[in-house]
Amino acid sequence: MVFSFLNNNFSIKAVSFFSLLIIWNFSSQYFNIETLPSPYIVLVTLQEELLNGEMLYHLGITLYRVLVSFSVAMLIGVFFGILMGNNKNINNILDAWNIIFLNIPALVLIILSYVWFGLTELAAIIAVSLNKIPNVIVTIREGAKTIDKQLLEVASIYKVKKVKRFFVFYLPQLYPYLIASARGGISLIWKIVLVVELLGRSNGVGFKLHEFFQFFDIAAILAYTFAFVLIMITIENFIFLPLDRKANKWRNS
Amino acid sequence: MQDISIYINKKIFLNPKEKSLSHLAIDKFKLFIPKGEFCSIIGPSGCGKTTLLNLISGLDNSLNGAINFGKNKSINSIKLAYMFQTPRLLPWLNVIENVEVVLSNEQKKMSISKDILSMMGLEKFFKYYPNKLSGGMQRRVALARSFATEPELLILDEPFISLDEPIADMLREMLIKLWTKQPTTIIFVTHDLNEAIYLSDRVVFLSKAPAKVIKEVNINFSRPRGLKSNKISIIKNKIISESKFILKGEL
Repeated sequence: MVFSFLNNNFSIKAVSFFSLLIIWNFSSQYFNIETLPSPYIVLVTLQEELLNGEMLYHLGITLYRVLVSFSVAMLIGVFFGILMGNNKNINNILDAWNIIFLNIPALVLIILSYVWFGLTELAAIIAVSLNKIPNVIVTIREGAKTIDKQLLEVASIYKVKKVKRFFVFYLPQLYPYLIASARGGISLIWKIVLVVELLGRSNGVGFKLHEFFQFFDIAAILAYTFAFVLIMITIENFIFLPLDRKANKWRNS
Repeated sequence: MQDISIYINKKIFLNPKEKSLSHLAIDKFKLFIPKGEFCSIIGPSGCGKTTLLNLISGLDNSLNGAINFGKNKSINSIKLAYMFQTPRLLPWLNVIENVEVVLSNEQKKMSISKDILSMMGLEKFFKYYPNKLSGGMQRRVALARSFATEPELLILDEPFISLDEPIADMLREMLIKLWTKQPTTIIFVTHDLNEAIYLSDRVVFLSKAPAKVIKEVNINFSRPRGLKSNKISIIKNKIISESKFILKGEL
């Protein structure tokens, strides 16, 4: 078969990716080159930005904000998710708050956070975390409701210590939910971080995008975007995927 | 190991909406089990056997009564093992981890879990996860876990239910083998009289709900016993002829 190489997953992905580049290249030649620079020009810009040193600094700052807000959102979200999934009363009390926060637009939380806490790093982190926490709570709460109590009874019969009971008998039951909310979380968070930076920070990818927008520098905007997308793909492939595999080892060993 | 004396005054499952629908599961239940005895409990289904075991084991902490180990030790201060109707293994741990997960750090150092698993013919499966094991093998792991903690009291709640007869027989033999090697007091709940006679020193019969002891039979049958021995059916026939409806919970 001519197309037998398509059976290979990697070949399909590679072909698909290069088709995108070709379409992009063709479009930029055909339309106005100012508003849609060709992939080659973006690559050159990326190289320049990397070499003059500024880009790495801004990528680093943004990545730092993503990781800190992600960790804060996951810790708080998992804590309240487990609490609300296990206790009906607590759930009844906090559920209304959670629904409200779930539906407040990200932009409103960002503006209020800057107004109340000033144009500071802390305000930025709070704004991003607050946007993500309700989503984490919803996912983890569903997980906590499906906990198999029979396995916890085993722990209680054999008088297993509390810490071990939580990490060996309880938490593994939540792994699918943890991984789902972490994966969805990090991509949502980095998008919100850019808005936060655009509105009230003087560094980071969001700040730079704002600057390039003023100068109408589309090539630089695309270069920064791809650089960060690359970082996020790396995180997905080298952190989340291996973690997922490890947690699911027993399913398909 | 110590003698166990059980007294349960009352166990009621309250129906908060409709008082008349509340269910009296146990009423003035009394049982004494000397240390090291293999005691089987037989009762009709729904008579409150599992409720009774939950109270003895402390899983249900709403005990109205007294359960004493030796003079005045409570359940929290003895080493307890419980084999449930289903194996209840942790799917994310392999066979050896599943057995050792219930051991304390000191116990792990001189762990006998590998020996027990090997004795049960599982030495090739240490690294297997439960979803790759057959139902019978999962029960073997659960049985191994029960003995790994070297319990002072072992409770088994119809552990060989819904298994093929040959596999159930093999597990019964293993249970006796382990118990002979590592003596402990056993409370074994079943509804199978043959099984109870083959395994136990004494069989206790329960009434319909509310559960109380209506008959006790000492099994005078020297070990090792044959699974298919005539003596089992002789003892069984004698019990049935004395009280026809004993398995239905009536004298």
